[in-house]
Amino acid sequence: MNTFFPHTGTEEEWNAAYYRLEDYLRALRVVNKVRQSQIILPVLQAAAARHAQDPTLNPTALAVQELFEVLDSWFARAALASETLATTGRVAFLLTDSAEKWPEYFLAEEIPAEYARELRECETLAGPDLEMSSMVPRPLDIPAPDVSLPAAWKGGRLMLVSVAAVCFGFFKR
Amino acid sequence: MNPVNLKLVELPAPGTMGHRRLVFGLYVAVLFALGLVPMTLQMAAQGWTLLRFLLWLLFIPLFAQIAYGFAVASVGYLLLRRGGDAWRISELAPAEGAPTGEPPAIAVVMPIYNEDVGQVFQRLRVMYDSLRETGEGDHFDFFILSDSTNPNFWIDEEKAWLDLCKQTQGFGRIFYRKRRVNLHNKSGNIADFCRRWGASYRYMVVLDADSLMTGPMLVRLGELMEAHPRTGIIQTNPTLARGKTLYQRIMQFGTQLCGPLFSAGSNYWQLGSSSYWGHNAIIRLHPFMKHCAIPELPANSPLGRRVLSHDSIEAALMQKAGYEVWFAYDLEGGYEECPPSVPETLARDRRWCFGNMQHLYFLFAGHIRPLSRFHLFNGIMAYAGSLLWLLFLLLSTIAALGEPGGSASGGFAFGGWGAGLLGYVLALLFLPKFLGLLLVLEQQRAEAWGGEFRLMLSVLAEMVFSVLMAPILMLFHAQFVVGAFLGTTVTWGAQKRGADRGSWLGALTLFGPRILAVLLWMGWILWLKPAFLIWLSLIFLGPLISVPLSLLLGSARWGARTRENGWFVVPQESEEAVELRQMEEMPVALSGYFRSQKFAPDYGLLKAILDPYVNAIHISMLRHHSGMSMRTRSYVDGLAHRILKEGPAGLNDREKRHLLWDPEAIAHLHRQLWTSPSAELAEWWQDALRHYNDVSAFGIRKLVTQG
Repeated sequence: MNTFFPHTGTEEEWNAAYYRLEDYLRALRVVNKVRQSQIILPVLQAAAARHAQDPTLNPTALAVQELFEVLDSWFARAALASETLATTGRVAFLLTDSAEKWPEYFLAEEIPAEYARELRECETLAGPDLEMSSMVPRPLDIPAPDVSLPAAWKGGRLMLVSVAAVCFGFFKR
Repeated sequence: MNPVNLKLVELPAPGTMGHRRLVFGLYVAVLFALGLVPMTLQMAAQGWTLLRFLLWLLFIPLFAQIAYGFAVASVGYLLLRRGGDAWRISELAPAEGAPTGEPPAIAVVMPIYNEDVGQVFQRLRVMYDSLRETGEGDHFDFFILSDSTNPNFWIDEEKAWLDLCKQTQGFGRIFYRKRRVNLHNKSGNIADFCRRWGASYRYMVVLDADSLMTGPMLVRLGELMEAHPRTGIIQTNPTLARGKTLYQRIMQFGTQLCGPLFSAGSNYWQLGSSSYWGHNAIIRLHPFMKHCAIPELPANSPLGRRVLSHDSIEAALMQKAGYEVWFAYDLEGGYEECPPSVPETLARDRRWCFGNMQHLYFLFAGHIRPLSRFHLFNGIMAYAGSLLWLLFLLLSTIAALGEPGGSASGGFAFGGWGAGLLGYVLALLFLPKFLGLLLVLEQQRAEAWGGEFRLMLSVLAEMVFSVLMAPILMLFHAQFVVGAFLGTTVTWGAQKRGADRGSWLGALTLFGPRILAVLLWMGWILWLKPAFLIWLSLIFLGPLISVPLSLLLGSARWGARTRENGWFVVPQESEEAVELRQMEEMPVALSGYFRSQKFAPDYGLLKAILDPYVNAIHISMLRHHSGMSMRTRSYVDGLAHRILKEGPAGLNDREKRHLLWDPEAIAHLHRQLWTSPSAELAEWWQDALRHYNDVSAFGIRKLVTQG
């Protein structure tokens, strides 16, 4: 039976690390509890080994870092060639519905050829190739405004004067 | 796509077009003269004064608008009664030399700005599926052009785009582009698309965020453009649909009943010199890019430099370049939605009004075609007319109250010519509604409108609605026009499209000042000449009851109730199109779970950083800057550090956007948050992580239950 007895760190710290890994896997939509445990245990073991070398490090941080490395190397084994492996891998995992269609193969040693092909063929092209061209306004013979009129409007003076003139003209009669 | 499918009606010769315009112009002139002559005689009979002269001057543009409106509607009625105009773009034979080879590449572009993500992407899904069913989908690419400034919308849009592509196998056909700088609003967004990808497409179909076009209509527009190489723009006539509130239902009833009359009548005399509404239209890209970039207004313009309403200007520039602009009013399969309430309509009108006032510059610009100038003038008068009407009413009041011996009915007595003139004006205003009704009855389509009796009652009720709403809109529009020239700033904001009737307090704040103004106006009349009040009572009634009226109109419950009882029924409700029905089958928005009150303001940021998939999608869609300066790098790293230590409250909106634009920072934050022990995280992040875990667990439980 595969066991986990870390030599350094407290039980509380390793429990916290376990919960964080579980949370992350759930965020990845890996819902099967057994599969979660299968993934978590070796990750925790690797984290514990690193913690034994430097007990000042936090088990949660080590465990999640270890999981990220496992994810990266698994995506690389699935032949996803990208500089941003973690990003490409996660997008490919989402697009292939891996959590529902291939739950038992995620982070497993063996990757079925068809699954690997599906992962590789995922393409998320947000925009086609650019074909730059220009679109420049042509000069239009737009008349310049009479700046004095808007300025008078802005101050409200012209309106007041106009209203006053109309009223005066009327009541004077 | 095959131009041979088109019917063979020859394009009218220029002389014929001129003949039509002459006939139409004479008709408008006669209608106008029949009002102006009695008005002039009446004034002369009472004796000319300065005040009467001013009233007479104001009467000219106001009555010209009414006469023109009636002329268009009545001509439209006659045309539709005999089965429609033969000279409409959809019926014309292909021009000589029209291409018949390779089908053209068409881009369907939808600019969006902080819009309801679920609705927008459902529309795209419906259109994409409908287009695929035609078998012509391969010639079309869809572009979602986002200018959303709110990170919550931005992040949701990215996820929705990925889901849409995944569900429709639309990768490589449906594209998403988020603009970093929202230069020149919607027209700048479209121009940005044109500069990047315009050269790859022959045509571009422009949509609004609430536009819906069926696949057959999109294909048909492509065919028509191919058949008519001198056509630069074809504007369709989208049907107002999917109304939920009482206001939306009345508006869609009114526009669907009378809209076809106005559309057919406009096409009769405008033909290839029509206008463009900015959406639900197809555009020939090459001339559009070459000739239709919009210049800025002069530096000392009181209306700002950047043009807000681009559509009519683009149509004018297209025609200036020698291309035609047609109104394909008879093509079916295009829809749009009406704002849900009066306040939302007013917010939209304020932007449109400001944009239309800017057109004053283009009205006098050189080398613009006369008909384009007419469209620009018409757009300006759509709002300026309200100011003139208000002035007319105010001067009439002054005449009635102050003029020695002035009659109780305003500046002119209603005896003699007066009563006849008033009847004539009212007839021109309301007859189009009866013509719309008559057409439905003649064509025996009343069943689709809820039956003859309900239809007639609905027409009467819609007229009451128009009478109440017109003065309310007049008061607001007049203020918008004056505000535009006094330098009031108007921004191109997102439109609320969901049903929300608003609160009493909100309505009172909005309408209160106008109610007060009307009460003062009434008090003035009551004090000096109470008998005059009866003449303005219908004008005052709408504004006085504007608060409850606005709440009633914005009510979705009353909208549903009227529908159940057969009021304001439109054919789309009784014989719903497949595409409209599909719009109601919207999948549940997942982001709803994240909108707990505490995290609602920043749920987009929360998801982009915490959720492994949303984080990955977001990063994969950003451009990776290899050459970022040390200073910028240090600034962004500082933002990342601050958001970790203080939570989103430590950053302002601009800083949050800067952070979200940096793929390295977002990747770093994702790793940093998940690897940090809870105790080391800021309190907001501790709660956010807990909340996120609860939400994802809930989502999974839901999945398991459903599975």
